[in-house]
Amino acid sequence: MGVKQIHRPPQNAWERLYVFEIARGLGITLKHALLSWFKPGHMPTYEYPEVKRPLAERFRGRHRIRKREDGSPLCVACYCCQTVCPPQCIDITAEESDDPAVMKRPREFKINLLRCIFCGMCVEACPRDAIYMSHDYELADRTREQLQLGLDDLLENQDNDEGEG
Amino acid sequence: MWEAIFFWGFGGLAAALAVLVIAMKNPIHSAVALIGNMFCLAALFALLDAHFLAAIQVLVYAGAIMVLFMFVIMLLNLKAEELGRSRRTLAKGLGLVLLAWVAVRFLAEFKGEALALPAVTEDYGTIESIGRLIFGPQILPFEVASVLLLAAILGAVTIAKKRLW
Amino acid sequence: MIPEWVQDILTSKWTWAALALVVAYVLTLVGIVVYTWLERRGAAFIQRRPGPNRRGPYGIVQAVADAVKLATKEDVVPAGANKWLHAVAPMIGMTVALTIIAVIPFSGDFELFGQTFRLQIADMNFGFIFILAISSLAVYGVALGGWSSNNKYSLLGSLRSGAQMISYEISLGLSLVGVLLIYNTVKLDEMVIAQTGAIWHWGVVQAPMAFLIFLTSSYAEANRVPFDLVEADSELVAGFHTEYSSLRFGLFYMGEYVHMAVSAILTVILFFGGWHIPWAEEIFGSAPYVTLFPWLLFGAALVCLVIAWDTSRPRRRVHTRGNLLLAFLLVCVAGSAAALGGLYLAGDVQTEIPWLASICGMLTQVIVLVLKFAFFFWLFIWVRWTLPRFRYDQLMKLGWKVMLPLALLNIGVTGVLVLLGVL
Repeated sequence: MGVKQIHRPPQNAWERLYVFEIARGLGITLKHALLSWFKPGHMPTYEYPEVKRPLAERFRGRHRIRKREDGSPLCVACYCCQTVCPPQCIDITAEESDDPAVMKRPREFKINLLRCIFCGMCVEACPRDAIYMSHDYELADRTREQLQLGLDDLLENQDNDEGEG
Repeated sequence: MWEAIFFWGFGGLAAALAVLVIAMKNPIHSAVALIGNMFCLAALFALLDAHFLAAIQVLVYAGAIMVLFMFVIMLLNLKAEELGRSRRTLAKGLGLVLLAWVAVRFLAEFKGEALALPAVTEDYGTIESIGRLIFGPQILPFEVASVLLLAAILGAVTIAKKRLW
Repeated sequence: MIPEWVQDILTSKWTWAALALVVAYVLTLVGIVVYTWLERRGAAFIQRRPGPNRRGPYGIVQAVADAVKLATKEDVVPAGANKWLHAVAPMIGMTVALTIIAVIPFSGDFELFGQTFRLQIADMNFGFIFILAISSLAVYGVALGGWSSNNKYSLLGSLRSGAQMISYEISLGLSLVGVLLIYNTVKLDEMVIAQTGAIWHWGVVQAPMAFLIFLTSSYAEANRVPFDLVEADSELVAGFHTEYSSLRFGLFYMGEYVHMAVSAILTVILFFGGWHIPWAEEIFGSAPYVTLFPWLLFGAALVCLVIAWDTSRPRRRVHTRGNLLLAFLLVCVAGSAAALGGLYLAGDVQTEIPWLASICGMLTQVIVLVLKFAFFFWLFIWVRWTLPRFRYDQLMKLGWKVMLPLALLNIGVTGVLVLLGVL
């Protein structure tokens, strides 16, 4: 552990008077204040509820489960995501599928969003690319129960998502 | 009429606060009572038309000296229980004797009639008249007092600092 | 002619003392709504963000919402706190700041029915010392509040406040001694009168060093950045008011703003000519403020129209409500102000109704004072969002090794210059 010496730049007499340098600093802040007043459109701020910030393509929001063409979940209840999930927020109950081509399907697929850390490992683990993370990040709610996602919640309104494949 | 009300109000308050200064267990409470006492004294000065003296009383005693008192008390942060009970009965007895003596002297001198105070002149209690008094006839005591204070400051510096330069 | 009882009211000194009280309280207590709004939006604009812009035109109703929130919150007194002092401490700061207003003159002398009045609550012959004396008590609010909270951070904050306020009060008082030598009076109104006429009669030109020391010390006295070590959010949580909540915190908060307002108005009165416009008599004749009044009304009308136009623009109405109502009200105000100004000019009030003219002159002076005050209040906010906080040893070094010698030097130099007759 070496101690890093930081040498301050030497100040000349003018700067050591402070008064004029403070005036210069005030000028800079005034410039910003006036710019903000006359050109509010140039502010880097998003007026959030109305204007949403563009998200990165790989942004990890709440989970969704893809559907087959007949509308049933693509998930085969292999428990891979449940096993890999670090905070253990996924709880799957499997049942036998009606479709002879598919062995299992989830009867229940519960995700506790209060526990989820949005790490995306369930997505990595999924052998069928069934689970993915959407761009939906407005997850506040009034009760804890409303943040326990069931299978229906995971399947709904997928059309307006452009989540990670 | 109003003068009498203010006099008895502030005088009574000053006396009560002075008792509280020595009666209170918690040193901060004593200090607060002392500040109140100084303030009441200033009000009494103001009633005597000594406005400058009243302002200086607040400025110097209540505003500066008592702040330092309080600063020291807070720095030590004494709790009431740590102070323990005072058992010095000799001091109490002596105090009572002295109080009785003062009371006797006071009753002997007090004849129930107002003292004849000199008439208040036009410039009585103004900054100018006090300035003329301090820098005229009273110049020697004034300067001696300031030398005394200087000696106190030098003493404090000498004690506080091991190496003077 | 005017009825007798109206004359009685107008010539009572109580009327004008009460009016001064109203001006003072509007400037301070009602003004707090504007100050907090100005602080929050000013901070936001300096940091290139919009700030509170949702409630009311320009977001100005936000401050009211803040006040309601504070008033309806739970008032928590921490266990082990000294209940009595904990309750009293917030009142001290506020009381002290409000008491100082008593000696501030808001206008010059004006004549009504042969008697002279001034918009000043208490005309003391030692007004200046009164301010120093009362403001020296402000430290107790902070010190006792921090100590009584039974919290180590609070105690540290109050210890700092004790040392800081004592240190800077000395430079503050000494810087004012220089001003006192120049004006040769201790009455605030006479100080303002001494600054009549040319701009180089202003205190800031005559005593620039005293002005700088006074400004810096008054920032330290008001516990504002760069001297806010008493709160120092990054070190002491919130310093002396860590354990305060609800309206008690509100009192501390409002006390700070009142203190700033008082400091700003004192700066104007001592150094920036108070209610005077430089060269007013030379330009506008013998009764400049009476002559100026209608033009001030026209100016106010123009400002109202500009604000009305701005606030009714679609861009300003995206997030706020009530903009069009405000614009309508402003247009009404502008119209009536312009009409009054026109009437004033047409009716030749100055010779026809002298009492109205002198009241109008007084109002002009109050408005000039308030405009100057607004700048110095903005300066408080502006400086806060420009400068970083001092370290504690730097604060003490600045106070004792720079400001104090400079203030003493200033007294010496000013004294010599006054003796030589230069100032």
